Amino acid sequence: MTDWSAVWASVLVAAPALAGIAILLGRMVPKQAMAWAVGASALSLTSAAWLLLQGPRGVSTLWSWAPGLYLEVSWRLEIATLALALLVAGIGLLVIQYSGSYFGTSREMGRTIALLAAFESAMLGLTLADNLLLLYVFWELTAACSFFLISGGGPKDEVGLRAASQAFLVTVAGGLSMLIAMLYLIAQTQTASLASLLSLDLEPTTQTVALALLLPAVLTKSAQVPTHFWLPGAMTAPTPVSAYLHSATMVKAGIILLLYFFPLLGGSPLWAWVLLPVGAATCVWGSLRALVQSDIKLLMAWSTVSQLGLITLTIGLGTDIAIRAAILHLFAHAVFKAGLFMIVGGVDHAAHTRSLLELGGLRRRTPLLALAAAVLAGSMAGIPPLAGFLSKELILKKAMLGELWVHALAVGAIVLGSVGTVAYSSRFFFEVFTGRARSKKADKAKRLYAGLLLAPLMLATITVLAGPAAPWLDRWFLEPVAFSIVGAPLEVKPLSLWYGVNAALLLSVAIVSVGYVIDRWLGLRFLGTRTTRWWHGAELFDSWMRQAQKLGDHVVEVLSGASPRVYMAIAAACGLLPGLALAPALAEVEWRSLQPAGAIAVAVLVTLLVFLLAARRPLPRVLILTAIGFAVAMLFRLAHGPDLMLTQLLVEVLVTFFFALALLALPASSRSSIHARERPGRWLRGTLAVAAGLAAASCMAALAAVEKGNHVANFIREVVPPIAQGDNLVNVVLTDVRAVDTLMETLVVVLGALGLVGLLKGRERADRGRVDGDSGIAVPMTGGLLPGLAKAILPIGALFALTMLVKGHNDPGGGFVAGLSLGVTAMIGLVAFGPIWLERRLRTSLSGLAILGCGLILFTAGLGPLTGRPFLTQLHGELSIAGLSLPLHTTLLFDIGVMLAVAGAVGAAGLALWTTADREHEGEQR
Amino acid sequence: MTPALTLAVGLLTSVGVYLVLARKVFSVILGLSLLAHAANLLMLGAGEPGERAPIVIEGVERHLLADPVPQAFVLTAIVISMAVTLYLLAAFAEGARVLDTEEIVRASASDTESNRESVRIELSGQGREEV
Repeated sequence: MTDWSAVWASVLVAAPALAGIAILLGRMVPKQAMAWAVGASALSLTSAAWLLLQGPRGVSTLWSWAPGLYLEVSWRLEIATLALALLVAGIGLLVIQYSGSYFGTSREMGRTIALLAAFESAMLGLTLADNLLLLYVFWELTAACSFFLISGGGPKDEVGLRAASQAFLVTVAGGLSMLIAMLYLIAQTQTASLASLLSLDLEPTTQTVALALLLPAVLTKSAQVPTHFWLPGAMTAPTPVSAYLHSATMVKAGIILLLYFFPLLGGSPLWAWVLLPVGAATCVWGSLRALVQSDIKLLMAWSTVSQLGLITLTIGLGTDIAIRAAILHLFAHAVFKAGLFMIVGGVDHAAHTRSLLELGGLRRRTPLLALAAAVLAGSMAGIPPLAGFLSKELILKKAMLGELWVHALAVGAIVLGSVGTVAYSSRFFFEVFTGRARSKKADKAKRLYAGLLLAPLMLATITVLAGPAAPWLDRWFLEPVAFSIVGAPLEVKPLSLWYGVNAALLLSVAIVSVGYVIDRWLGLRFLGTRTTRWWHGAELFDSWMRQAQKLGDHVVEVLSGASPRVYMAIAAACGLLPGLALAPALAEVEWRSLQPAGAIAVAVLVTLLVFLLAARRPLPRVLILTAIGFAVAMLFRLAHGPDLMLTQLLVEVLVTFFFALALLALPASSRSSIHARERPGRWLRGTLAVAAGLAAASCMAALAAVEKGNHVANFIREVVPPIAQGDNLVNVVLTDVRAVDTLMETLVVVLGALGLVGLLKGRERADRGRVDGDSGIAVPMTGGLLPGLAKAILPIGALFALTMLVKGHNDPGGGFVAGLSLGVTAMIGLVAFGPIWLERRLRTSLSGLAILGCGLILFTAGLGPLTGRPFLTQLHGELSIAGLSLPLHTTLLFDIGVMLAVAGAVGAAGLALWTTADREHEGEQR
Repeated sequence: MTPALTLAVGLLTSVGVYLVLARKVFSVILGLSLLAHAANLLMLGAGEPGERAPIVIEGVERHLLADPVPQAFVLTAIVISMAVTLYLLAAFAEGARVLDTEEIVRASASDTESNRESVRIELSGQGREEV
């Protein structure tokens, strides 16, 4: 059963991003790009509206990817989430429409529009996601998109890049803390669904820990003091981007998260203790800084900081009705701030300046823009009957309730902040639009396109209508949204413009008057005459980043800069500590149970290792290494692993051969000096080595002592053989039970060999001019007996490989052993008859053979899906010819693939090394 | 089997680490081979010990069979460590030729720079004439 609302919600979220991708891939011209982006945003908007009309649907899951790992794509379709999605999509639509006129036909427009659309998707996902991990993904996606939006000028734009990096690093650092919070909540409650989390009652400690982890994310994202500095910095972005990021979206993400988690974590004392002071500080500080800006865009940025502080402060009050007020102000602020940023963009377009020192009198040139500005700035200042008045009034009323310190702090901060807000709003409006023009630029301001006016005017209309419509707004919008956030019906008076004369109203009047007086009569004009720098936070941050980089360089220098040996030693030492902690397990080993065969194997091993350490010349050391491999094979046999023994023996033969070839391929100058005699550091190395050996032995002893209730082994021993129709369980595991592993590992072997061939071939190409074509020796390197013997050995080797392959499923053997045997056979042929013989005999390149083998494995793997079974399902059948029934398994096909891959890889590597060694000798002879 | 495996793992690791910390690349390759042996034995020993090879034969109690899972792991690990050794050997031969030393080069800043330069010349095939 497909859940259609889930599909619908996914379309809602994905549409803008898909349009963005289409714009980038299609390299669309601006008009076309606009059409796509506006269309997609409109689709999201109507979807959100339609889903909202359907009423709350709870959680709908689109895709349960890995429910056991809490990985699901699921949406929470509640009134509140959909209303926020509506806001995001609505402002998104207006901003994209506005960008069309703002950028005109400039070239970077397609990119900006595409990024804005992608950002919109991330934000929509953030509002709707139910799964906590999905929520986190969207959270970080907004940060990633904003990075590219803010650094609009590309890598050459240093200022933009710096601002973008700061915004990104600050918010992502917070985001990491949020990820930990999410994981903590999942670990504590065993659920990753936000909806089910909200229905739980958490322990107070859990609440506080989760909140403490969540708060850094919230506070950085919503630009609260002291991490607010990234927001004014981000003003280097084009104005439409700011209009979107800093009104309805990026900075609201933190607020939205707070609202979502309020029912779950609001009970923690930390809630008020952190949010109230931080919100208050941000509210006041942002407001004060906004007062002294002369760039109107920076003024808006600081105003945003202040307003975010106000909302955070209100949420910090922590009562249901305060949440309601915060929600109202969130919407009101999104609407007026988006509009105001657009007006800033319009002013910039008309007068080509954003400085208050140069603007003035724009009312005459752009009356409609001035009208919209009056309404929206009025709403920001909280003038009745605009939307901003409604919300600020509500906030003031709620702040007067509660404990004394809360009361004093909240009201004090709100009053201070709001006085400032009135003052800078008034300053913005009057100095830009009224009076005389203070420069020629302002005097010669152009008229604006309708495209730049449409969105601000629409937002202004909404702002105006909200006041008189307050009772309806309350009943149809605010009440349901607040109910769906808080999860309980609210006992409040309905929202209204007029509650009668009360303390809040009187305060409001006082705030507006004082603010206006401060601006108009006390002459704020002179405050901002010097260009103000942002608070030093940005510079402090930069210097920290530089310090961090230096520290990183230093660590790298210590760990690996000096010599690989140093970090090898460090790695070994790090491995030691946990290993040595297991040392007591060594005492538990029943040393008496050491059997004679095992004792002999160990004795042989010890002898060989001593020889290896004593030997100086390379060839003897290689031969000793081979002998050690044989001893290990013996241990494998004693541990009841015949397949392992076979594999190990064949591998040892090959490795010896390759070592010899590599030594031959060394330049003559190195060959004489390769003898190992290293005195320096012997004692340190020796100590580390002994300790490492002890640690490894302890691990072995501890592992062996673990009680094994081995379900997997039992399953494979009891259940699997009849199904897989094989008796050699190791081969059954390799070709059937864990065939995916085998597939990957075969690929690794082939890739290793191809890498080697590539490494040496590159050199061959460089050498070609020198050696001139006559590659390899037609005359075998070893004359005499070998070619004659080889003629007998080769067929036997091939036959052996074939036997191993066919028998492998029921007896020791299998694809790997067969492939290695073929490899050994080929190498004997190579030594006896030379490389030309090998290539001619095979009539195909060995690398090709290896790739063919991989192809065969993949083909076998694909048979399952082709017949409607899972990937890599092995099929079993019987073939009856004339009364004889032959069992047929696709595992055989799989093993043939493994054999070809391994044989091809070994052969190709051997040939390449041989050719290199050969050339080295020729070079010497000349 | 545990005592023998414990001794073998300890010894192989010990000598392996000693060689890996050497200055000569050739010794390092030898040491890595030994460490691979040790790891394989460790993995094998981690499984349930059995009394017979993991091959189903009529009339043999299944629980006597050795655990096949670690064996399968080790089998592929052996082949992969072979591939790794091969690659290291090729890199060793090639590196010794390019850098004209078979020791691990101590990477002081100036050294690294000059080595990089010589590798660059080698790889691009230029500067052959002077050699």
